[in-house]
Amino acid sequence: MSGAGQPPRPLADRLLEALVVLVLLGLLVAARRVFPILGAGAGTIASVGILLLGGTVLANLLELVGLPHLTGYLLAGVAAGPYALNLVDHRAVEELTPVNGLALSLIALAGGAELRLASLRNGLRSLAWATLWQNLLVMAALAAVFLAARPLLPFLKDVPTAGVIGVGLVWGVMAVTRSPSATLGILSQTRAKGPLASFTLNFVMTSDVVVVVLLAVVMTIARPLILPGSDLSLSAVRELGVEVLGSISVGTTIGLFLAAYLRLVGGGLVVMLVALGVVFTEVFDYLHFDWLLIFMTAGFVVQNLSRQGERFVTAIESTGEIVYVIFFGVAGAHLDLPVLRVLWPVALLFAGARGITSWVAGRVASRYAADPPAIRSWGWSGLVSQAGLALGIAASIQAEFPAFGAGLGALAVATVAMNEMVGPVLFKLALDRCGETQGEAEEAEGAGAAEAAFEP
Amino acid sequence: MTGLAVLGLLLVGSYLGGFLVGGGGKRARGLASGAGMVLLGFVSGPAVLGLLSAETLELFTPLMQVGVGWLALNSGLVYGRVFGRPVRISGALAGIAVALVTAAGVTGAVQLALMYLPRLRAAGLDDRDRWVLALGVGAALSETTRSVGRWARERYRARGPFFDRLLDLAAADDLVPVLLAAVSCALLPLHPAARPLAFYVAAPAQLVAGFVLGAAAALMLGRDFRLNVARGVLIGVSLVGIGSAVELRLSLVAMLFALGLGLVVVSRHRERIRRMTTAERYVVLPVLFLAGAMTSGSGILPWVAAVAVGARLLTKLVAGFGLWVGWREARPAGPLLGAGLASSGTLSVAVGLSFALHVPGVIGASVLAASSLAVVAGELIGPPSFRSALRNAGEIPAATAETQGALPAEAPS
Repeated sequence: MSGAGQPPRPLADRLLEALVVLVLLGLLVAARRVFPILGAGAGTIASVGILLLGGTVLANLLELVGLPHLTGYLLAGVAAGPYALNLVDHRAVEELTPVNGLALSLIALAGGAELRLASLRNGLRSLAWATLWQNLLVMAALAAVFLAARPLLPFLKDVPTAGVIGVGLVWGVMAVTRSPSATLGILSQTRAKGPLASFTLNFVMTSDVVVVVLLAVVMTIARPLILPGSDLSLSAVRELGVEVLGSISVGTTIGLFLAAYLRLVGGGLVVMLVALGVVFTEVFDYLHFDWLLIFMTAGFVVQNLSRQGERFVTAIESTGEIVYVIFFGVAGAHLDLPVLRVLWPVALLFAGARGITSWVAGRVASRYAADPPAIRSWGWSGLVSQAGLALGIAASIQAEFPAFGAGLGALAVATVAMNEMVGPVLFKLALDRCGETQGEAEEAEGAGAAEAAFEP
Repeated sequence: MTGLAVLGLLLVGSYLGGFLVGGGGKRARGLASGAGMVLLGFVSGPAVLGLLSAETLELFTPLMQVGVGWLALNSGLVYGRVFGRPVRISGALAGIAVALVTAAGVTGAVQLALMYLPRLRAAGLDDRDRWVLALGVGAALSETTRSVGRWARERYRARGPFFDRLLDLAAADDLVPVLLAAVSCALLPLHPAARPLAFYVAAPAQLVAGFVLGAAAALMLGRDFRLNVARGVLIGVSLVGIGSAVELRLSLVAMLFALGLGLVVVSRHRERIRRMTTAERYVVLPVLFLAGAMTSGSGILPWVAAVAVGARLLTKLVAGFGLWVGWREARPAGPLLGAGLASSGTLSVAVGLSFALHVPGVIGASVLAASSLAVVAGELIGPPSFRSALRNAGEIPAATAETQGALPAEAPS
């Protein structure tokens, strides 16, 4: 985390760092060329190392031109991934899924803990209008664009018009998903404070719940349109109720437990969080709870219903950027470049339409909410990033509607890839323009304390 | 027990380790017994109760590799230092000499037993395999754990010139198991895709590769220390080193030890880097537990382990007698000083576990069985003798010795 507020890292250090990594990567690539069968077994361990090294170094270099660290992590993942240098192969990417889950659960905890009741209360008007417009307008507009773009989508050739309307609605829901991890990653790097940072954080974190609800409702409507024989069933809505309420209850319990633990014990919190992230995510998946919502709620409870909030945030932050490097490095390695190469014109159409609609929705919502200039001009910029949630929805659609699911899934991957690359850059640019990037934790000076707090 | 349950158990171990192992002052007073964790693992593992099946343990192979690598890295980072000060040359030389004598005695005894004991000859090992096994066991059993010094200092407030020498000895002897592990692994073929290398090339090559990787990491850290860069680089380089060692079938312990050494030798931020690796204490207990669970007691293994541990004790006694003769400060401690050096610890288990992962079958299993038995036997003999030697030398305050002498002589790993 170097950037605003800290003296810039010397250029010579960054270049030397990059040179050493290039030499190391060159050696690894050469080794793989000479011994093509290398990669079995410990490939995953080395892969995490490569993503960490490459991400850290690339982020430092890109910082020179004002790009966010996340872009560096993503690009490192793309470069090392199976479609480029293949230092991180498909198997390694798959095997890193639990690590990714752990990273995401820590991010969700951090996200929940960053949500403060006072801030939510102050920004309630902005949040309500933005939630309304950003979700409804973007969903409706993207569903319409999807229908209009039907001739460009060969996988819908045999689907009747009613079915295409149903798929378009689902596509619309996918379009309103945002990326809490990207938002938190940028805020963690820049330590931004101000109306834009607060608004984006509040919106993105709460939008997760909105999207889950929207998806259940839309699926209930879309299913009979896509599969004419099926009945309109409210079971999905009922299941959703159980899932959301159950997740919030479990999250509240965990949050209270964490608060009590922090008060009574305190030490070893990061190991405790890792245990929650690794073991409990499996348990929650088995019980069909939304563990992202659980961890977000837990973080929120610790922050707002106890006095341990700051301590909790500090403990999570002691994992540093490592969580983000791994998460976005893996996301970069996941990016399906061949699909992107084929589908980029259509993906660009959808990504562009989504960006423009978000901007329009932002302006409209700001007018109703009488937002400050920062949110009025840039409030949409933090809502462009997309990541795991959109892909998760695409994967479930793929499983549910196999006739056209594969094509739709590929298109979703390509579109999300674009938003994933452009979104963080836009958000950081907006924060810089609004003067909200105040500087980061003075790690260079306070390194002693931070080092002591560093736990695996 | 499912993989998830084992993982939960390991995390509990890791959590407890954060409180019980390492650190300083009062936190380390109730040190966990490394042998206890090894025994717990052994009893839970396939060899006894079977709560952990071999298949479940296999799921944790990457975790064990990372744990062993991290412990070796930490040994390299702190090599040549004890309680924040550099070790003295004389103490270091004595430590290396004692470890070499021990390694030679153990290797020789195991080699002879494999050649001449009918029960062990029946294993049908060829010359190369016998040497790999004997050198591996010699490597695993040669050190005296440095933690016994910490244990004595924090539980009994030991201090004095004799104690300082023993600290230097225990802090410097880590080099011997590392070098022997490199030699032993060099006798084995590298990855089938790699061109075979003579062992006198392969052995130093592992250390050089690790050192170069460490030096590269130091260069990446640059002149201006940034914590986030340091974390990314340190963990990233370690994982690349661990992954490469496993893929190329190099010695995990040797390569990562050399990596740590290279890092602190070249980097100007060595003290900060050492402070960053407090995570070691979270790794120790899970690694000991898994090593215990991986330990088998079938076939020739108990025999190899018994011969090796017997030879170790004997050679430690001989080496200790040498110290008693050679060191003026050691005279009051008595000629059985060597028994106090019998504690073996995490590095020993790390070497044993790395062999079990690296050379599946009787060789790896024998090295692990010997190192596990050495930890347990060392726990029984080492700490009381160490305390007794220090008490005789007048380097444990009388009040402390009287009030706490009744406590169980439970030593750290």
